[in-house]
Amino acid sequence: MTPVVILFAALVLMLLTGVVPAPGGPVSVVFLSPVFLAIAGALGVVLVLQCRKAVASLDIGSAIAHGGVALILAGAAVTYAFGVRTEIVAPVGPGNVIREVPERRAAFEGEAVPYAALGFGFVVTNFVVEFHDPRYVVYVQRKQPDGGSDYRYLRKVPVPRAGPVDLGNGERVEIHDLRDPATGEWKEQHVTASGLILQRSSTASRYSAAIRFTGAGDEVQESEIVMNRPARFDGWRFYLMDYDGGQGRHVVLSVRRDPGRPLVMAGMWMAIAGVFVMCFRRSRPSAAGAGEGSAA
Amino acid sequence: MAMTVTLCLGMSLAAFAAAFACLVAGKERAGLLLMAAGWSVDGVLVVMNGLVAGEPPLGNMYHVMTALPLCFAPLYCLLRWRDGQGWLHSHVAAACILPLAGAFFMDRDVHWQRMPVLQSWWFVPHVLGYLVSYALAAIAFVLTVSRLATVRGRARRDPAGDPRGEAARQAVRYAVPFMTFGLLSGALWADDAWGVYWSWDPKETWSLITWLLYVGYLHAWHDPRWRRYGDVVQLLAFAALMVTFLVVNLLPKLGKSLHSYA
Repeated sequence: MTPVVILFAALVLMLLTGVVPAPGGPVSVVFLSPVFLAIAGALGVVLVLQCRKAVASLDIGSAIAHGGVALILAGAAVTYAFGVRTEIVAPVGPGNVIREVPERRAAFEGEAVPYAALGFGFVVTNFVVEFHDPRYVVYVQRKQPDGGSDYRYLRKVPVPRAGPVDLGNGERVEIHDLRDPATGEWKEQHVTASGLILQRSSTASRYSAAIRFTGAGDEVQESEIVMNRPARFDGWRFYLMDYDGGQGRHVVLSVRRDPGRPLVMAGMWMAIAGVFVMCFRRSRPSAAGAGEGSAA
Repeated sequence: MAMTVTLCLGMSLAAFAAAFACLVAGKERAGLLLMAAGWSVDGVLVVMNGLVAGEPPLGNMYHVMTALPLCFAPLYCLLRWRDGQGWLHSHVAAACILPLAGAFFMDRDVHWQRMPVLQSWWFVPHVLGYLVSYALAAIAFVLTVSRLATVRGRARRDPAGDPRGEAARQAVRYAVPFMTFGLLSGALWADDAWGVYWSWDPKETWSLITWLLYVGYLHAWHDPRWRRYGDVVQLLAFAALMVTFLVVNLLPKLGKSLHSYA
């Protein structure tokens, strides 16, 4: 048990180090450091040993849980060694075919990263963004003792389908006052008669990009990428990460090829199932049964 | 609307506080009735939040703080009927007060709008998994603090010798599977959303620290030499949980985080 406790303590300490802001970011400084990788490796060995022990004693829950976590670590190692994760700013338009992507994400702005050929081409043919109904954030201006002023947040107010907007302090604003008379669009800012400042806040409700892949032999696949629904082609996965504020000129895509992913996914489901089996089976009170279960 | 929300929160909070007072005074029937009343009012509030938002009411801190006490009702029933721990009622009432008191004093964003990244079928199970685990961890925390506050001498170093120590371990034992589900469903969701199941974001790292400390606590129970440190590990785990749940969101660094909405 003592080595396991030391391993837990070392892991927690490394993770705590990783949440301290560091130049270069915690991922490269801490989580890819030889010390952390050695601890993760040692954890993997302990998990495999415990899994074997649990199999020998027919402790199925423990075997599945420990084996699952070991599989996650193994999958992550495969990803680290052979996976590709990169981002690309893709122009929107039928003429902008992309056939190569950066080999990895740039570690800092302006870093020159070599490009790798995909073996196929893709083009983002269209991009659409939709918004929720706007809300207005209400601020009040406060005079400062030094003669200046600042703004204090009061509340967010929704814009109703009909009727006036209730500002929450008994004051109301008519909907047409929040619309630009020239364009009919919602105003960015409105100041009420009493001096309250209403700042528009718009939340995107959905954004989607249409993408066309052209593989070898003129194979064509049309896909739609939405947040939480990536597109897949020829072993690569494409994720819609960001867009240019609604101008529709380009989108930011995350592009992945991850041979370790199936191991990680299987490991996650095994860990969930195993931990539920371990923790929800009936047991004697632990004071009487120190050997109960099979903690690593 | 704001007045109705404040009224419901106040009534629910008052019911749980009164329930706690009754249960500590040994008036079990009155205490349990008041707890049921607190849960009912809180349930009405959660339904109202859902109707106003038009979405599952789990989208912001106010929603989560009001939904959290609802998880305690089925968990109390589980602990009472499966493990014969009906005597935990006062601890459960105390644990219900904490999130509601937090919700009472915070900015209550009732008109929440669901952003694209949260439009996933993982959203409800992921948040619910964490809510259940946090509720159980809160019960374990209250039990441990109550034991450490009243026990002196050698008995203090032996949590297994006190029913509250054993009940705290049992609560953590039920919490860990839900926490594991919350952690890993978050990773599965991140894989769908961003193509990366783990990105060492501060929220993710703190949630892993919390999970490791709770798992470490359960492992420590299996060895009499380490069991006496179990209380310390559990208190540290709860502190890490609070950092994951609340403090990380206040860090300026989170402005760039993938979890800035959480």
